[in-house]
Amino acid sequence: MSSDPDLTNFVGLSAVLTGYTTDQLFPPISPEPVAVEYLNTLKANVAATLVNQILTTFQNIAAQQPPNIDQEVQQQILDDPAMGPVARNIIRMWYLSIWYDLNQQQPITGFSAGTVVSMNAYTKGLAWDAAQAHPMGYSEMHYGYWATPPES
Amino acid sequence: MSAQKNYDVVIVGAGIAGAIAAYKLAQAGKSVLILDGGAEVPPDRSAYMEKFYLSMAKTPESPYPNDADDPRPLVLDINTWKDRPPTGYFVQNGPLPFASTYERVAGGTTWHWMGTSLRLLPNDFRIQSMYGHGVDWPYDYNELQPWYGRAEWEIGVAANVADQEYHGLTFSDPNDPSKPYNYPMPGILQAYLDTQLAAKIGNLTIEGQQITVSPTPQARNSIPFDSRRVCAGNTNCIPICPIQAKYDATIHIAKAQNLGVDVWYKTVVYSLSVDKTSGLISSVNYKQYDDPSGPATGEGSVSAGLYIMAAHAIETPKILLNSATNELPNGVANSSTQVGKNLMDHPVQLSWALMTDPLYPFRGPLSTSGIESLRDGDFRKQHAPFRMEIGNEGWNWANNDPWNSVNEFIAAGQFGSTLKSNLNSLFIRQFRFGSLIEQMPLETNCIVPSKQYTDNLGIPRPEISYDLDDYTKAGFADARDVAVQLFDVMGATDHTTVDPANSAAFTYQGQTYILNGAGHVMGTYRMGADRTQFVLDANQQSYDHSNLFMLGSGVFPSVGTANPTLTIAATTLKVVDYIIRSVLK
Amino acid sequence: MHLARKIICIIALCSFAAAAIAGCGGTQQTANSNAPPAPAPRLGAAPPPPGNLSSNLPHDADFSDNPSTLDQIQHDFDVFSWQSFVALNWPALADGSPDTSKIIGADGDNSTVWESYKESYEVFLPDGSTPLPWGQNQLPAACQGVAGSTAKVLRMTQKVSDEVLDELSQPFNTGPIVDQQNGKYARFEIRLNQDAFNFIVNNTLYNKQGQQAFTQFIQFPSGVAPTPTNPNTPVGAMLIKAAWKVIDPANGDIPGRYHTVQAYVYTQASDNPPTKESCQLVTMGLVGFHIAHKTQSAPQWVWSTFEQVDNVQPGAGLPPGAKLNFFNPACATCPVNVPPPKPWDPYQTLPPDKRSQIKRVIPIDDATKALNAQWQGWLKAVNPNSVWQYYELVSTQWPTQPSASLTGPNPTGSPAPPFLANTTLETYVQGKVPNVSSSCIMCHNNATTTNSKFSDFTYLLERAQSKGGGK
Ligand SMILES: Cc1cc2nc3c(=O)[nH]c(=O)nc-3n(C[C@H](O)[C@H](O)[C@H](O)COP(=O)(O)OP(=O)(O)OC[C@H]3O[C@@H](n4cnc5c(N)ncnc54)[C@H](O)[C@@H]3O)c2cc1C
Ligand code: SF4
Repeated sequence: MSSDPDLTNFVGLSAVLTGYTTDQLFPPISPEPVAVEYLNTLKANVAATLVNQILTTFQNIAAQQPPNIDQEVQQQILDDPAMGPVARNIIRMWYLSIWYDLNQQQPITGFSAGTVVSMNAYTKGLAWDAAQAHPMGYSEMHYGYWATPPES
Repeated sequence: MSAQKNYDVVIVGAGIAGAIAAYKLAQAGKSVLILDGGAEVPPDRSAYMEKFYLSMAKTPESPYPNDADDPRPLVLDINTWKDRPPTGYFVQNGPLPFASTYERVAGGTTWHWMGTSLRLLPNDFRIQSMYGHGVDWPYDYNELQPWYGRAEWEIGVAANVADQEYHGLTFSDPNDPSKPYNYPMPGILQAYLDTQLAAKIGNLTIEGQQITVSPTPQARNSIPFDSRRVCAGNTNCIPICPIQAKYDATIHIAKAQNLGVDVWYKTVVYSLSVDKTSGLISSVNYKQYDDPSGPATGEGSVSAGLYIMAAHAIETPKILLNSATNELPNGVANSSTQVGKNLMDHPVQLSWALMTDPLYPFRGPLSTSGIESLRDGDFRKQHAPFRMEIGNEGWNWANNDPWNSVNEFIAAGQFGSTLKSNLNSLFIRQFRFGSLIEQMPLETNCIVPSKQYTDNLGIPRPEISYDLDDYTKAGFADARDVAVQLFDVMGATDHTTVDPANSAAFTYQGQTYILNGAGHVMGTYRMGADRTQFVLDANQQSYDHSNLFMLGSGVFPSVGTANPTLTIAATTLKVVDYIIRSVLK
Repeated sequence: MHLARKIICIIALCSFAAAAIAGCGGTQQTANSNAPPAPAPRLGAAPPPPGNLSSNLPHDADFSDNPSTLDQIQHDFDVFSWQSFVALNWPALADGSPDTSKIIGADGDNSTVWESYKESYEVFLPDGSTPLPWGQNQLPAACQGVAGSTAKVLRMTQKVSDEVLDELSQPFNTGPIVDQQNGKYARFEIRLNQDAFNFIVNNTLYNKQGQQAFTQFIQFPSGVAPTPTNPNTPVGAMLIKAAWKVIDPANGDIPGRYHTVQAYVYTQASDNPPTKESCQLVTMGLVGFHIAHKTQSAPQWVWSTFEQVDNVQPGAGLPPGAKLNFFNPACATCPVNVPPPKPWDPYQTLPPDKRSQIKRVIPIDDATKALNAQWQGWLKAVNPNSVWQYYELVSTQWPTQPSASLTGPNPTGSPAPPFLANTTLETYVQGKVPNVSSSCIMCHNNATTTNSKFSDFTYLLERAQSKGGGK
């Protein structure tokens, strides 16, 4: 894992929020880790104090090694009126590669305003992985793969 | 432009029709110039792909430049089609919006076509005599059959003949009718989803037709073909194939240029001039720009022995009508007054559902199969026929997925492994039908150059009036009923939503439906045997000006249920052959 | 750390030169892994080469420095690239094996090992027949009457020839490049080493029928680094792609900065653009050099790409006023990275304002530059006039997740660097747009046989014709 504690906490929190492992979100040897891009995007769009609050809250939760970390994250972060919307935007970012503007009509939908974080991010959106498919426009599979169910 | 050559032929429009025509004419030794209003074909498609990747709404037009000097309609314009002044390119008068779009870069709309390459059925050429609706073509299927074969080889269509011999379709070697025919490439493998649906539908007859899930002939590579790669299933044929496994017209532009054809890009044609004494076309008049949102940088006209209009079914009639003079108050080629009329589409009925078992959509070409069973039958006396395209992109078209559902689930408080598995369960079971309905021609469905609204270069914008007649609407309603019936048979749950406030909603017999466009713009300069009723003769030659030909789906007298482009290519090859043999010999 | 790597290099790699080159056919020289560097010295052997220069072709990258970061692994692969470059360009004996009595560049220039590898046209014959055995070469008929004795044939004017897809699939027939000095099209060739050739021949993958009959998942043999216990390991399949330009001192070329050959420049007949067949003997200089090597550590292959240093920027020691190969600094208005206007006629001499104006889009990494300086220094130390000092490594692409399933969702194994282009070989697809811009692994992942089976990252198999020449 990274030597940057913010990144470590961000990836740890993201794993709880997304349901993917930290290694999946931030492979040890990775040429273009999206986790770094996402953390930068978060910091560029959200006040530093709030980002710190989220990461520190998560760090404290993780340090206690609670039996049900999901529940702690839900109660302490997602249900928090200030941190919750940001945390949900982090989930959207991982799944859809989009940073949605936080100052717009809620709830955010597929037609809300936002920015695709990068081309690299688009090719790594988790929604496609959850669908056992690949981002539309970016497949690495070979001719005819579609004729059979995906490898699990 | 540099010193003008003496061209045998000037072609307006570098889409599939214009590019194939240029290539074939150059092969026959003719000197050809193409004028296209759009930017040149880029050395690679990275700029387009970058724009696609970074677009929030990945609509068909999202990869391509939206140039003020060379404007085109956008898919989302339909949400505000009634606004005045119009927010989109079209000026729409209704009562229904015209929901289809096209592209104005060199290569044209094939940049984002899906590549479905069906032939029209024999009965599509004679619907008036068979069923008492619409208009017959001036020739029959047999006359076009060899040209279909040649077109399939020209653009590269993958299919197996055995899968396509339905509704009387016959196949034989274009050069020797006694020999069997083969498509240039074996059929594209069907998606897992298609075979699952076929199994669940089983043995079923509707309206006298056995329901069959047929593999779709597609202009994408199932084997290496024409120096292009095999389809890798990027599931992005619309809006752009990243690896050009799918045919697009830039292929024929390049081939034409390698035979010496000149192409002038960023050259927007706005009218044709007619020689008063001979009645022949004397020049094509254009404006040029440099900066795509800047002013015109030049204006000019170019002359040739022969003129071919291939700017597609909205821009071509716009140019002809915009050429009106005191001598020709109806515009060029319009003694019939039919130019711009009978605008048609294949109105699309979308129905979407969730299967009980996984189907694994979002994998492979956007559609690999369809139900062609209801494209023909005696029911055509009562209502319009349709083909049911089986989508391979879940509810992407239907519900903007994965974006909508991911957001919906997150807004509902889901996260972590629950979110992941719920999304998985939803996405892997999604599917949809898009039924393409045959639309009947109506004189009142028309496109005219707007008197009020112009584009950035001062050229009138298209003003459109559009509606569906009851026969077409009855087909639309039937397509919806059949979809529901199939969902029932398969044990799938219908999720189709109909919002009466939708800007494209219409009602028929008390039911509300949502109109979608297929991108199939057809019928605005039709060919036919009677010069008082039709713009062109059966060789797509203007009745009024013998040195003027027109190509594209605008020539279709009636439109059947086949996606139009293969027929555009076939008719183009046929017409160019006629030109070479009989006109420019 | 540095020392350790060097020692391992010698032990692991050097002993296998004989096997690598004489190859999997005839007598394999079994080496004792504890033996000092390399095959037994010949009579009159040269003094040991400077630095790490060696005729020994590595079978895989050497990770004995236990790299733990991306940069460290990249370094190991970059060293592997240089070792391969030097070994492949080592002076060759008549049979193509390295002449260990000589040192690369000692005479300035030299004939090379890889130029005796099989050219793709010799493997995929128009009638689908069995290629001539390794070591026997075949000239196109059009070249047989042409005076001269060399057997190098350069045929392609762009990387796509008319009837077959070439090694780097050209999504748009992307176009030729034209040199600044002569206004002539660059030419390309693709060669296969013996492991690659044998795999194709043994499995009859050189014609369509053979490909149809081959039902297994295509896997070329991998190179395996020898160990003391297993000294006798395969080289693995290697494919070499080279770009050449005309060298004519009368037009300002400086021959001493290129590896040059007298080559048959063969132009195939074609309908589009209309082109006549011909074969001419021309002095050509090497400007681009691509090595794809399948190894145990890289089932997605290792992709090394080299260029002549004056392609798009002045290399060290280029005299002031001398021309670059593919860029004219004096022309501010020439469109950059745009192919010449069509029709693309390989016979034409383009006027100066139509010659290629190529820029490198992704700069060479600093670490790679430092490594280049080191290896160029060694090459120069052999002979200050060595042509080989004028080549540079652009980068090496390798899979960061080599164990990714080749039939799963991410067969490319997340390559590093994600994008890599040679200005002479992927000229018009440089950049960083996924699925479009040049990435060796990503692009070759789309390669198939003539019946659309995954062909293990090589487009060569698409060139197979029908047995008997029919359809
Ligand atoms: C989303 C979508 C999906 C589709 N899928 C399919 C499918 O699967 N199968 C199928 O058969 N069809 C499909 N189509 C339809 C298909 O794209 C069109 O039928 C076809 O591209 C039309 O070709 P064309 O050459 O007639 O016109 P175009 O391709 O539109 O080309 C016209 C050319 O003329 C140029 N031009 C326009 N105006 C001017 C002017 N004033 N001056 C100079 N040049 C001008 C344009 O720049 C353009 O290059 C689809 C369409 C859409 C929108
Ligand atoms: S599925 Fe993908 S690769 Fe195949 S044609 Fe469509 S976009 Fe191209």
